[in-house]
Amino acid sequence: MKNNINTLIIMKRYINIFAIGALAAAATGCSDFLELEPKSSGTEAIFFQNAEQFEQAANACYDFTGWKSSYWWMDGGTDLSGFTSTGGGTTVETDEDNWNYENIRTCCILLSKAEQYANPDEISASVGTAYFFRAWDHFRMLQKYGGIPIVDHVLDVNDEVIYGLRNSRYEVINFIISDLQKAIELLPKESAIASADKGKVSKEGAQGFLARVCLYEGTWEKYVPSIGYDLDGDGQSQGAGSAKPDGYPSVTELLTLARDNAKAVINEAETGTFQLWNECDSLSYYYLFNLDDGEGNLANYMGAGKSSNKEFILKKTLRLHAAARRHQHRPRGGYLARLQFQFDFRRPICMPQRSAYPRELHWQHE
Amino acid sequence: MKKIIIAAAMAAASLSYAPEAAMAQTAAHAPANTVKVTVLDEQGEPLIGAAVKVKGEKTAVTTDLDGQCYLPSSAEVLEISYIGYKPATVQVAGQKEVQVEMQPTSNTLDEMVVVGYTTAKKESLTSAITQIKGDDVYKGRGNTNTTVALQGAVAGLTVTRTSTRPGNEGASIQIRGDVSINGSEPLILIDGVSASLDEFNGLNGNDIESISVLKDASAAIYGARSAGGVILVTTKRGKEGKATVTYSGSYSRTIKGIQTPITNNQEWLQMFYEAQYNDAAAGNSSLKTPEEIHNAINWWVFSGDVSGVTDDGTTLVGESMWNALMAGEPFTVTKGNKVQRFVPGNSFLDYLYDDADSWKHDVSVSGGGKNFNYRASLFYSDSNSQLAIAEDGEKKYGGRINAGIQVNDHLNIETGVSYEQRKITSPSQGVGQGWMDQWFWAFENENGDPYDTFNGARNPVGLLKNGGQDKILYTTLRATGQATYDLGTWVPGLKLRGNASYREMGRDETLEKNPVYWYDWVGTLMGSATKPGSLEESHKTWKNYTLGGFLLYNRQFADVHNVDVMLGVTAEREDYKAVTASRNNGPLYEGSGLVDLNVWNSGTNNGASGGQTQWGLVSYVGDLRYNYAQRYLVEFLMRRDGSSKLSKSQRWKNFWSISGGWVISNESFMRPFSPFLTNLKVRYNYGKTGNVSGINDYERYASVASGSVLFGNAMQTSLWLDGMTSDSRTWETINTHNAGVDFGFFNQRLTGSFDWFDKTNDGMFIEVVYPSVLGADAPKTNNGKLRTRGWEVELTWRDHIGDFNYYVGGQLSDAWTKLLELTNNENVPNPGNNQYRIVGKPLNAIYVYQTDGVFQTQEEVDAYYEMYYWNADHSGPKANNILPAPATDGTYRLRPGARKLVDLNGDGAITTDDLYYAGDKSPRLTFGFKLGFDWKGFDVGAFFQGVWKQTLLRTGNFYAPFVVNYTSQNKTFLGKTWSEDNPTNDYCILSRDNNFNKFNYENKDVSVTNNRYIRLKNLVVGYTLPQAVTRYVGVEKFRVYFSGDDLWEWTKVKDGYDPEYGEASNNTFPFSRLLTFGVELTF
Repeated sequence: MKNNINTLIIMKRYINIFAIGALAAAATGCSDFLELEPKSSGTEAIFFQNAEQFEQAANACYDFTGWKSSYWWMDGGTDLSGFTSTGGGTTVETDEDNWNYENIRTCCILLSKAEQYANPDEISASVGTAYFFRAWDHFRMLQKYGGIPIVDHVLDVNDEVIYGLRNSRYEVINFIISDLQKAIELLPKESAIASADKGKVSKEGAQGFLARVCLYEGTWEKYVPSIGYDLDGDGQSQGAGSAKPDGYPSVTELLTLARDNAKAVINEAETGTFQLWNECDSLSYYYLFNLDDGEGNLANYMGAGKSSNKEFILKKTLRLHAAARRHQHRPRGGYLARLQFQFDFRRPICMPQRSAYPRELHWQHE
Repeated sequence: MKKIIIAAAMAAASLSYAPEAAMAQTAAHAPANTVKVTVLDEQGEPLIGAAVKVKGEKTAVTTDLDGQCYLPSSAEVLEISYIGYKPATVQVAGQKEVQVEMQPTSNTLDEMVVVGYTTAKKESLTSAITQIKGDDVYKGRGNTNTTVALQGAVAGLTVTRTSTRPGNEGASIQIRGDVSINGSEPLILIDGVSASLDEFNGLNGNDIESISVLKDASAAIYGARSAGGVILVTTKRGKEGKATVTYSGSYSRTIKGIQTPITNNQEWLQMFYEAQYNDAAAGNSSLKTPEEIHNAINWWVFSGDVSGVTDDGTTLVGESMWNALMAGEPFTVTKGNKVQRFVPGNSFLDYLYDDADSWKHDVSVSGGGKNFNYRASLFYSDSNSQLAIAEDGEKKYGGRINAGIQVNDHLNIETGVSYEQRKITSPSQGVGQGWMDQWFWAFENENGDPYDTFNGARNPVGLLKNGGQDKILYTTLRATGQATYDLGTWVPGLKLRGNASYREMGRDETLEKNPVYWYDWVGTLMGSATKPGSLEESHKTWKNYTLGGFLLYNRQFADVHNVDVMLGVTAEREDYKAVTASRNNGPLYEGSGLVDLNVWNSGTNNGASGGQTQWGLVSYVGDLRYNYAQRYLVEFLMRRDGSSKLSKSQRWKNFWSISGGWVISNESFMRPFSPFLTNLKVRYNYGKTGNVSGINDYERYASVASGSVLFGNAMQTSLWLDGMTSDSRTWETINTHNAGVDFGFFNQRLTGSFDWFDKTNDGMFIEVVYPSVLGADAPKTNNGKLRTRGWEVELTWRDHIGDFNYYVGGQLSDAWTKLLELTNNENVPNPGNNQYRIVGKPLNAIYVYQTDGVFQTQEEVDAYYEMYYWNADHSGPKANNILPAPATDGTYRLRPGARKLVDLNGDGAITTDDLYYAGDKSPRLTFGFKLGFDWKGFDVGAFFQGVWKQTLLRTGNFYAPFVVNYTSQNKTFLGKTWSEDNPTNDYCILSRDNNFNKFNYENKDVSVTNNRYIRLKNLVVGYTLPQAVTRYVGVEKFRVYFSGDDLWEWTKVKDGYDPEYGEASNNTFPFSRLLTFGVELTF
């Protein structure tokens, strides 16, 4: 019996030594052994480190679906939009395809990373782009649904914004205007954008868009109440409410803002940055919508291609024959644009848009 | 039988030991100064030819016909050994006579079972662990797939497969049912190194010594990967003894089993005619006589593409074309510039599939001395599927060396190295096709090129022959080493063990897709596919490094306290790297057969991609076992896992299990029952196992995704953060209870066990749907709950009558799942299979509509519409109605011959609320049953396997007639469908209206079958030549055998498919049977 106890004591000692030794060995090698980082994809740790990466992140914000000439809007993109429940009503909207906050999230992530970046001047164009598209996406949804929840920071699953009420349309417009004004300060002028980067948002593009937004909201607030529809509701049981933030511009102020921004663009145009296309003299407007860049469809007698057109203040270029790649980073709702259309901001809203389609629409389901 | 053994033993004795000693001591009379040793077997019968020797001496004496022999009385301890029995020792304390009774090694409770990291005696196990011998499962089987051979072998282990094509069986293993919606595969370890199912399939079955299956929480010793159970595979090692060389080889012939029930041309034409006739009648109610209806028949393609002018000027179109095809003779027609050749006797099932040959060879050498043992083996197998017109098969070969050395009294080293290659070649396009068009034509045109004048680009003959090959090569190199240092001289029972292993598995794939062209009879190009063609080569490697250090302590105190302790640390790391390159612009030299990226056209769409991941795992393991006099058993095991995949706060997790058992049969009050009841043990086990499925390799990082946007004239890169990460995700934990009883009667002739288990997955990964304002998909979180319950029964009877040894045994098991919780779940059933959706039901719950036969008269239909279709003011259908609208003319409406649905919830309308739960898609009540005997050199064994209950809802295009156009049909419907002459209540009227047919059959209870089957999985008849004869040529053992795999089945599946096919039906590949002739030689 005594022998057994002695043996047990010795055994315990050996076990202790061994266990400590093993644990020590494991612990030292442990931390490196278990801290493994992805080897074939980038992570948050190496992203947003320099200006070029910010630029690439800004490239991902370009989300032009939902512009008035796109496939889904149809009549909703015209001035009929204020007439029915679309555009912010108290009737429940059943279209879910356009209720999309994914791009807004991308913009908010960029903006939050930009706050931590050491050299804000290097990345001002990217930051401006993010503000622009955040405003763009909010405006797109505002046109369809009226008041919507405003997302101005990166949301987590516990954030109350995702379960909260809609903000009123006035709050949303206020937010859009402030975002665009920040964008205008940060974005480069159109003339400062290199030809390899043409298509990126410019200061004038933002000004033109801000003019559009103010014109839209100014005329809405002026005329829609007169048709007697209660499109605001009480904000609790129906509708988005009519809460107005402090310092919210009046109708006159909105329209003035529209005029001022449009004037700024026109002033810029007069310096030669933008120009009405006049290659075909009196028939220019007739040939304007069939311009092409050497893809075999030079339809006008002057042989003038798209590159001769300086009317675009804000454009999205796509190439019909480019390798089949994603142009939208997020195949939202499953649709991916594989074709091109160009549109310009100068034409009035009610212009028939079909002639702007050079090719047959071709959507691919992701 | 005994005489042969005597001769063998005598010969063995005389070969191995001093001949003089043997001759001198088999004398009948008792010399002086000797002790008489009598050796008996477990029945009390004399054991002839047992080797008896003095401990420490080299020479041995064999017992005579009375089981007796004489040894010098100076001997103190004698050792007796005999093949098939446990070695025994006996003390000779000055006695003149000694008697020894030997116990057979098989079936004894002393059998060592491989458990997590150690071994344990079977009698001390307190968990549900089943061990099977490799030879029981793999010897004599023609099938080379290591996974498929396990079907039905172990209770609770279900193997499902979807085809019998070697290399492409689609076999998967599941232990005790589902454990999570994210899947739950068992962890497979080969000689202590984790392995994938592909590696397991690369093994040679004859190299496997034993397979041990840890079914309950005893698997928790493997921590986070143990939720699906653990399968421990141990390869054969050498034993002390002279070197033996074994060769086994076999030739197998694959023949057709159950073929897919596709119509041949005549049958299809009959179904077509009847359907079109019915549709013509339904489409126009003014037609009354059969002749009027016949004239109104729409002849579909026979009036269009499938028509033309024959060589002698007759025009065949519509009915005349139908008649010509029905007549059965080949003929040619021309239409426009297309020459069509009709061969109505053709059938894809006969043309594409034929008998095939397979070969297997295996050589091994094993032996050992006092301080070392070794086993080396080589194997090669070549198996082919039934595809007759293209190569489709698997070649396996490899080699293995296992060696063990006892370096000195303390140090023991065991090593093993193996290399295996597995090459699977199959056509890259067209496999399983032949059902998309009913084929009235020739297969190849007069020039031997693929023929297709109908669709122009579908005849699978073209795809299979010319479409290119998919070659996959798995290469596995495995090296393991283990050193055990026995500290017994300082601390009795203490050992130190270290092991290290390296495993590298490579997967190389060459996927070639060639352009395929189809022609008409004279050679006009009709169509093409896969242009310009692509070649993709990929190379993937998985490198796994494992290290472990253990402390083992095994001691018995005071004869009654048995302690077994294992403590250890392991570290494992796996690196994965992939490189893929492709060229998509067609071959440079078309038709040359060259397959290499250098001889394929380079273009702007070349592909190149990489990929690398790594994961690491550090674990602390411990296993403590204590038993008191083999009566009261307790075991506690635990594992602390730290994984690189999870974030720091979630990284470490503990898994453990505690179990206890009571061996009632070893109690003193059970002594009187002893020969009758030799073993009775009750045991209970509870623990927590973990599941890694659903965890990504780099959980805590949001990765950057990339795309491109066009600016100016060029694409620019765009980057964004993809998805959200969560810091609270961790492995799913499963709480397992297991209660079991092991018993043995009649001296272990009848043995068996019963287990009942309950597993609850508390934190199952499920998607939680957040409002889309979040802007991203939230990661799956541990919010779901799933429970699995089940039981298993195993029973075996082994006995002998004289020298006729026989056995009968079987196992039956069942497991059912119940989804307990799914946050944010809709919980409204959809028709068909509801996978992972319905709380309170199994993971795969089948919901269908109840039907009540078939409408026989128009009055019934009208009354039914009145009751269930029309709303209150007869202006339209009731809300959510799913019945087709009534009409006087038309095919898509309820009419005589249509299915009558039951309003199950009694709300007066037929809606999706009338769905009801029809059953679980997972197999239930799986069983295996074996019996066999050996006698006078003959050995016969049969093994049956099956599933008693499984709800099957056929999917694809063949669950009903004409659900899509152009395809073949399922011939089980022919002749059974409703008509006025055949007013059946089971099958609806034939029609070619797809929607009408879908209404009649899709997701209705008549389409649900019980996939019950029993299959004769293996039947072996072998004969071993008498050793006396074979010894003349120096051969120890020569056995020949015939065996068959999947020879026969009985099934309740009524629509003609093989029960193991599963629910799919769009496939023409038959299930096959295997007939094997084999030879085994031991030198």
